[in-house]
Amino acid sequence: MTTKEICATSFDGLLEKRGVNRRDFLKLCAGVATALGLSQTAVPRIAEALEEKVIGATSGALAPALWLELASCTGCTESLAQVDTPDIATIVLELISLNYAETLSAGAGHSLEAAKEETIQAGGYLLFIEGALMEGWNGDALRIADERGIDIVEHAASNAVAIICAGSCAVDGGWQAAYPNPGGAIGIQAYLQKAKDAGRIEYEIPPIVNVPLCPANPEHLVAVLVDYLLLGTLPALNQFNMPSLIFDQTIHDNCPRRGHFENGEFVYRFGSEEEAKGYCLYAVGCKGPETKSNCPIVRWNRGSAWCVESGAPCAGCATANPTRQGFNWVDLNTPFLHHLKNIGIGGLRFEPAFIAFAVAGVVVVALAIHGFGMKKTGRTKGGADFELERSWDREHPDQALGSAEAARAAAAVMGVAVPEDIEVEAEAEEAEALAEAVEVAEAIEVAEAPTSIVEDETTEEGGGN
Amino acid sequence: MAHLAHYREAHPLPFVLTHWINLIAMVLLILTGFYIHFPLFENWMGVARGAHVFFGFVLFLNMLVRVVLAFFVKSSPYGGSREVQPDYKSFFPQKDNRHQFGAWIKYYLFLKKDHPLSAKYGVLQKLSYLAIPFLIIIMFFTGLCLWGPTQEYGLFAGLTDLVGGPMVMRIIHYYLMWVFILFTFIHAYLASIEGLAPLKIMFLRKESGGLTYDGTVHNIVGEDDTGEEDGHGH
Repeated sequence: MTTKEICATSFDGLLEKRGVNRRDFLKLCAGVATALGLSQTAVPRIAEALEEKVIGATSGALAPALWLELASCTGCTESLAQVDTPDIATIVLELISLNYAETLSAGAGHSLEAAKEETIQAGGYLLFIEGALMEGWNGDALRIADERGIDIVEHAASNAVAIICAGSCAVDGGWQAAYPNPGGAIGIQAYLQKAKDAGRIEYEIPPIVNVPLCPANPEHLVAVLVDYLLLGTLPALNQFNMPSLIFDQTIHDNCPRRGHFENGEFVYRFGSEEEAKGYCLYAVGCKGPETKSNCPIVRWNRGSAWCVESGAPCAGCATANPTRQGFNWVDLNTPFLHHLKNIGIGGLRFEPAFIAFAVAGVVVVALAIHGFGMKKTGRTKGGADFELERSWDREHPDQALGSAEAARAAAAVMGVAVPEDIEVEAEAEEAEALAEAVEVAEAIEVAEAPTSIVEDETTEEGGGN
Repeated sequence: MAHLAHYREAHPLPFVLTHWINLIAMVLLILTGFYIHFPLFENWMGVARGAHVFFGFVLFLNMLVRVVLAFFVKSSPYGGSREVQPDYKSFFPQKDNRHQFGAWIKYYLFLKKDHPLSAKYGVLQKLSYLAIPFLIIIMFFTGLCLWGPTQEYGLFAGLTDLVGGPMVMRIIHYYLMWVFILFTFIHAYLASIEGLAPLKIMFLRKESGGLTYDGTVHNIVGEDDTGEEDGHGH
């Protein structure tokens, strides 16, 4: 099929009924091509894929899909539905054969549940999941249509060709899994892996594509969908099963305010002159430097704006770790208006800087007090007098390192009294031994350091402080 | 009062230089690090980041040089002695420090009146100095995990994943800086609280007189009053 042919399909009529034209549709395709890292020459192929495979405009065969809504705020559905002014992405997603979507489906109740079951039995569907699973209270923390959420997911995943986790909650539990997480919120990937490891599910877990953000960006979902339908394969994924082309660069890398960051021009207070100038939001806690998403390129709301452009510091909602609990974006990024997250000791939360300064303060005070102690004990002018022999030596004379002679010599050098236990030993030939030891010491000293002068052993003062 | 003589043999010129470089690099890293952590005043982010990365490499390379030199430069293993041996031996257990760990703790807690006999580095000193190269390595690696051009390299990306992401890595890097700060506080305090002789030899290469120590008898053997403080500076 050529580009020209694509340009004249009955699909155009479908679009017109929804108040958009062919040009808008191709613009979407171009956006999708960019998001996928394809050249613009791929636009006709994308258009074709969307029309034929997704929408079934020519073949009539729609790509079947289920949209499970678990523990969620429905924000991701809202984000996709764009109820005020439906956009192209919405239409595309509406026109896949969405056989089950609690919020969007016209049907309800048993008939809808039956449609879902039929789709699962038929297989070959894409499984979109919005919201976190709840493991709490034996899984009863989340029940839908009188079934536990965990059972629903285990069953629905059994025949899917791929699972697309839409939004951070489905990816790793999101904000619902944030501390203290009483309901046991968990991401889909982690849950299925756990169920597999525990032997609760027999089948191979279908490929999982994690598309975080809170809420999920519709353009990211369409990009994944098109990639799958166009190339017949899932997009290249990073270690978190997130599409690499979307989630491998930081927001900071592509931020339009980056120049202000490098110049050191920051907003320190909301409502300030700096904010009016559009300076960098780093100092008010922007998480752009550690958050990976192409938000600055794809933007939101049909490309009209995105958080940082609208003046809000990035809250880091793209941060997600589907394989580890406790590393969701809320745990990792709160308080949103501070540079570092708070760290916890038990139930208490502290700013890292607070703890650091507190510990440093304690150390400085301790050193100051210690300094007074050193002053008071007269150690500040050269330290205390040296011990004549090591305490351990005294207790273990048979294994002693030093000798009594050396100790007596040292005592003589320093002009201090020889302790009794050493003295007793030397009692017999005290004077003789002392003189001898000092001689030995002098000899060694002179040999070692010919320039130094050995002080007279009877000197009262210890010498150079 | 009595302390050991401070001779140049204890701190040969190459180590005085690496010590100076360490000091300058650490101070600048800490200042620029604080600025990057929170830019208290405007206009310096580019400079601060550039300087931070530059001095990070300086600190790391200086550490490597210092460690390698320890095997090729000779220094005195004892305070108050001009006897020399390969420097690295001063960082491994020495006879003169045997069983003295408790003595040092007691001395600093004022539970022991007299100064413990020791090799050039006391037990606590030796342990903390040995930790520094490892701290610098960890600091360097966590820094590279955060630095844009290197954060995607497999090793660094893997380390970041291991700790739980860039935010956790930032906090580790931040707290490690405080370890350096507190080390420096304590190090500077202990080095100078008993007199300025250690500072003079370490920064200015000026010798000070004092007691002399002999490694063969493991004790004080004499006194050298030719030091600076007695007015006969070398």
